[in-house]
Amino acid sequence: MTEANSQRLEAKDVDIRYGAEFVLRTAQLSIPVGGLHLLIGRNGAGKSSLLRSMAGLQPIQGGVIAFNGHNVHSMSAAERAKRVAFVASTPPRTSQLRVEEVLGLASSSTARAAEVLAMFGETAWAQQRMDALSDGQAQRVMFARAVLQETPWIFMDEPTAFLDVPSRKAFWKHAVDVAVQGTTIVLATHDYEHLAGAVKLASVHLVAAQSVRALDPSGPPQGWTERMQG
Amino acid sequence: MRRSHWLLGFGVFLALVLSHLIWGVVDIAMLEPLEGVYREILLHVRIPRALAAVAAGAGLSLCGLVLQTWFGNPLAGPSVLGVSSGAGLGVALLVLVGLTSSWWATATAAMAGSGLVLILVLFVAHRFRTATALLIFGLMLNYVVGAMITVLQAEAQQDALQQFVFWGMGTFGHGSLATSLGLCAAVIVAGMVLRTMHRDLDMWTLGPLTAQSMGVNNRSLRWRIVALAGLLTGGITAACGPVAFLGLATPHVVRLLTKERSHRVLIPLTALTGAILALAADWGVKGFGGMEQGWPLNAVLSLIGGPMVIWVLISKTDRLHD
Repeated sequence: MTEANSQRLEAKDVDIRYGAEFVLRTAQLSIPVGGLHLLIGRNGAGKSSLLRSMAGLQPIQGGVIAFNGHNVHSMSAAERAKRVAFVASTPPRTSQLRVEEVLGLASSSTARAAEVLAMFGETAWAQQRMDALSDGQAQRVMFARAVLQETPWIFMDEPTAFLDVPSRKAFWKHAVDVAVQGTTIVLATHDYEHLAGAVKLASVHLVAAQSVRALDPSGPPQGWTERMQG
Repeated sequence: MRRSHWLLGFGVFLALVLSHLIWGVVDIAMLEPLEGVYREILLHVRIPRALAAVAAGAGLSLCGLVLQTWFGNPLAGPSVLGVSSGAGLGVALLVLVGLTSSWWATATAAMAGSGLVLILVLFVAHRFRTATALLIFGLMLNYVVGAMITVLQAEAQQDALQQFVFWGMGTFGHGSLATSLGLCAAVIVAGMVLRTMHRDLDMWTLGPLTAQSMGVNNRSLRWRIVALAGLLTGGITAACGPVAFLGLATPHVVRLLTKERSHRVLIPLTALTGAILALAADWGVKGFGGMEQGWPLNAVLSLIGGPMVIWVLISKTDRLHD
């Protein structure tokens, strides 16, 4: 394993299918550490399946996904939790835990939890119960929880899907702050034009036609819509 | 939870245990030396009955708590996996066909029935992707097993039918001291195992994907919950009959009593509250004050538990409208 390979996430010849239907077929993907990386594509293209598979949360039917040189599907859940944190598209709506309890599950350091709460502007919510928060607030808490997991990678699956515009702006601001601090963020989103207008992206990958294609991240955001249709 | 609240809870618990030991058909003066018939009553009737109530109350309530957490459904309970019905089928086969009516045979049949259903649930559990699918499977299993019991009842002799109906009413008073002590030991071990799972259960409330990403082995967690709930329910049903409502209602009582939602607190508090409710309900069974005879256990529990669940449903609906 070369040094370059050990510092990236590699998906080789990945097959993902549900029953007989392929979502991805011999898909290739390579993501270096550092910065904010984007998966884009239409509904049903396979973004979420690929993201969950790369996080080791969903099995693949062929190929290998290697995380810094280690097969993510050979790791135990505890080992994976040290490498990658995951933010699902839907915030928890039924959990009645208090925000500070949720953060405490990710980090035993109350000082660090307080620091991240302050960074996300959530200090006033510490005693609130999760089911009393709005979707936007709950999703920010889930992001803060992922940050507190202190993993080198954070994956997010359409994390702003349920959020209004101000909440989205706040969410992306936090994502940039976290990426700047050295955590590699990989996310799937339909909010890419808004995101690309606000952030310099490290890489962009189009998920379509059962494959994954790398796009030029420095291209003008308005051109992406056409590329998605092509 | 403040320490004073815990002390209050333990105080109520101890007072109820003592009340069951002292008062009954014959009142026992606890401060005097125990001799003869009083000693026999205490060792072979009162203590086994109180221990069975404590074990069944705590055990079924713990089952209810973890199943409600696992299914994310406030109406889940120990009977949801069909394990209680399985125990019922075991006893129905034995009693209604008229093979034997001894207590040990009945208990063995209940345990065997619940064990078979548990094995069936474990065998098919991995095929279901969601907790809801497993919940529906349990409900369907209940219907099928219930129908089989109805067929057996229709074919049974009258005295066998009567015996089965009495078993179905549930009681804490049929076990020996050894049975009740064994049941208590099993519930204590199960409670300690559950206590080691409190962080996993908290993470599970955030959703299966999030829990998995935080290091929870979801498959292992499911098997542990199914095994614990199945074995506890089977053992308690074998000893006490199909005890209604405690598993379903106690977690709701606990949520009314405290704002704590971490399983670190909920697990011991649910066990304590379940034991208190079972002991209190058993006073209804033994009969209050001037009553010559009390009511069947499941009637008492259903009369308390039914309105409680309805109240929870209504209060949750109010919150949705708010």
